[in-house]
Amino acid sequence: MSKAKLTISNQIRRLRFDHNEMTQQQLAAAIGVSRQTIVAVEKGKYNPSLELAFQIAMVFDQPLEEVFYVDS
Amino acid sequence: MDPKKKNIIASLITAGIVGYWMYNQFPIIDMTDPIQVGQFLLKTIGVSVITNIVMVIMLSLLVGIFAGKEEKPVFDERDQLIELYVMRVILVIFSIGFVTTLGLVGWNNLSINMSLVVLYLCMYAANIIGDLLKLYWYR
Repeated sequence: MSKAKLTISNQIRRLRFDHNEMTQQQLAAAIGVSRQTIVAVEKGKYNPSLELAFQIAMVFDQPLEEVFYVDS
Repeated sequence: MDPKKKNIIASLITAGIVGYWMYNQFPIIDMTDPIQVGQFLLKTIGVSVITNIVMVIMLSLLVGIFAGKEEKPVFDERDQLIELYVMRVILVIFSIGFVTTLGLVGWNNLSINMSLVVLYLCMYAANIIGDLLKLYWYR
């Protein structure tokens, strides 16, 4: 098993715009986190916990792998 | 304004006021008298607690007047992680200060009274650095 650090990217920004141009604040309120956390996740500066990742995916009604993916 | 940032700013203003208060108290206190040193440190803790409460109330009022309704406070997993990092930094700074103070007591004949003051100043500096780090990470 490779021990190289994985770069995890996400489609949150695109998915927000696909969902009636949902704002970061609206997404944050929907899952009960601060807007700064959404900003950090969106920019890839913070990798959310599995629970938060699933919550984000559930807001967009998408499977987890459609929202988060490993950047090769 | 984010309530977390408001509390950090209140804490930093408090640190400034308490620092000024301590600076003015230093010449008055006889550092060779352990009773006076103990009273001084206890008074400093009291002053910082009261000042912090007053600052939080004042900032809440100012934010209410100038920025309208305050945001609802949210404490999520990232905040917990930041708190953890900041606590670790504070602990490291305080530990370095503690070991340095022990060294000064052991090899430089620093009095126990002064070592108490030095330890308090280490904690004071560690808290300021912790607040600044929080402000940086919360941005």
